[in-house]
Amino acid sequence: MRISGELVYSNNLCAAFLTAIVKAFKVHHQTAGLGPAALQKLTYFIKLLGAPVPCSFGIYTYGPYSDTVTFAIESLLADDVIQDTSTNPTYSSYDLSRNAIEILANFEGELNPHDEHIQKAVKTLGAFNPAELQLIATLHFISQRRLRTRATLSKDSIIAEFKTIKHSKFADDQAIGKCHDALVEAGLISRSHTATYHVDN
Amino acid sequence: MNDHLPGDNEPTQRVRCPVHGFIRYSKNERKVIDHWAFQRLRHVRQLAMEYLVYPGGVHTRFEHSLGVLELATQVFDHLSRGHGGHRPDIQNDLKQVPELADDTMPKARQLVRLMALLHDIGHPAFAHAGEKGIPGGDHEKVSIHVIDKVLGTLLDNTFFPGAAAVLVLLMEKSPELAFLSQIVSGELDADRADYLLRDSLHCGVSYGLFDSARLVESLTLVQDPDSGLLQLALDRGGEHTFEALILARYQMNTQVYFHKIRRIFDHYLEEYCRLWGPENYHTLDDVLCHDDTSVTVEIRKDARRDGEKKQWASRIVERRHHRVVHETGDNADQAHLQKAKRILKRLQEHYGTMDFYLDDSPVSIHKLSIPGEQDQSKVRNLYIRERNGNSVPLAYESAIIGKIPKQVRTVRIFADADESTLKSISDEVRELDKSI
Repeated sequence: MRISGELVYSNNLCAAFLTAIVKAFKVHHQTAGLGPAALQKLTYFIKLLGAPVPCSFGIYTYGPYSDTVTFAIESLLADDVIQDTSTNPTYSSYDLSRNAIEILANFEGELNPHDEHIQKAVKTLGAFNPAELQLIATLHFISQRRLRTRATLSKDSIIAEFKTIKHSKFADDQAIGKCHDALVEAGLISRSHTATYHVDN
Repeated sequence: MNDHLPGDNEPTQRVRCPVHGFIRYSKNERKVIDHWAFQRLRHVRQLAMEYLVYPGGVHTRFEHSLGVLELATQVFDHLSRGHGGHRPDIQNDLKQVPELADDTMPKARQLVRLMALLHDIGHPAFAHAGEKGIPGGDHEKVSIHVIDKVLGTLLDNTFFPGAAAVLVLLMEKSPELAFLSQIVSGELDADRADYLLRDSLHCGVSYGLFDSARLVESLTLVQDPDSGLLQLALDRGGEHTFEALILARYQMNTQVYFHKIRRIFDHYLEEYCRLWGPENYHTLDDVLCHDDTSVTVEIRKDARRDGEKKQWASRIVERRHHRVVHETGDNADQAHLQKAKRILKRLQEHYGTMDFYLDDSPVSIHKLSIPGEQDQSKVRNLYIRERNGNSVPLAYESAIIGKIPKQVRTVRIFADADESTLKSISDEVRELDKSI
């Protein structure tokens, strides 16, 4: 094994997708911080949109999570592809570092076809914090389940079911509605479904 | 629980297992077990080439799948009994799935048994080490394909219409069926519980042991306060056997699964399969045409004939391997990773054409939120149900869980060197380790 370039731990497609997400985040949300929890969830949504990120997600207490993504973030940091620019020891905030160009070039062919999904999801959902992204993931799950069971798929019905299962947490209708609209905007709930799919149980 | 689907679903068949004793199954389940796709697992070893380190570690995915069937059933039956058999909270959750609207509990039990049996059905030859050669690089994709396309009609006709579709949802870990899939695959799952005990027994090590019967008896269900979904939890008193399970996982990973010899032969297998796979795995169905035996025959042939595959095949056949010249501890962090990278570069500069291999093996031990952890690192809570019905996060009650690393990551540098060169490399690495 000869090391070519600077990528020893991170020369893989999952790490390349994460790098592309960090890059897009810095374009669309220059002043905001991107930590591991938000990066996990953005990766989850981009995978849902069809990008072939080679990692497997489970839905846990604090939302979608993948071990592969966690290890890939550590590898990207070790290879100086991304860096943690946060001055607050409680939070991380990732930005691109000196070897980002190399990984993005190595996987250009695999990343380019999905650039539209990455930009769209990061632009629309990147403004939300990890707790809100967790909420958005739950709203998406509810909409998919309602689609599968042919239940009403209107915004009001999705929000009503969300409030039933989430109890007191996230009680603010306006905030939930904003998250729902972001899901539609990101293309994770079809506009045609929310407009026309009203087949009651 | 005697609440089975009628007819040939009575558990009249049995097989003896070295871990769990007699495992019982029905005539209908036998149709799945006797299917050629499942029989193939008799020839896919659980631990690939672990037998090069622990000669007894030659058990297969076939017996492991039967073991998971047994444990998952014990868990389901315990939960059903503990919750009164037909408690509305379980049934209402399951009835959300259209296919389970009637005969809910017998169908759910059957689904758990089938998921347990079939959870590894898509493993290629040499399991994880062989995944590099399969289309999509992921055995879970193959498993879902087999359940949907290869066994789908048999499952729907034998058990109930829609059984295969719901099994696919379970395999995909849909939140819709969270607690059912957690029985087979989760923090407290039958899969881990079986492979830890089985691997420990066959490898002949004293790690990996815990009281599985006590664990099953301690399981309960709570409604997750965050997601509102049912999830597996522990009754008060079960926390110590869970601690033993997590410790078993930590020790088996560090002592058995990530043993240095196992890791280097996994590397050879991965490289061999990366070349051999595209020549032989053109579709997902092709994965089912091969097992450890057939690929071993190919490896032996390739070890004797010229070609790109020879370098890997001959190492496997002759047990001729690289040697470790540097390794981090079990908990390598960013600094350790960067140091290993610098050492590797220096060695490559110094030793010119010598072949070095850097092995990086991260694995998650548990995902439980622990006291003092930053919000951004939190993944999940596992709850203890108190006698008064309240639920508290286990990690906040356990003095042990917070002390066991949540992940293990070991980085090793291997060198393809003879004994005398190996000594000089090791001396140099010791110096580099202090100075870099």
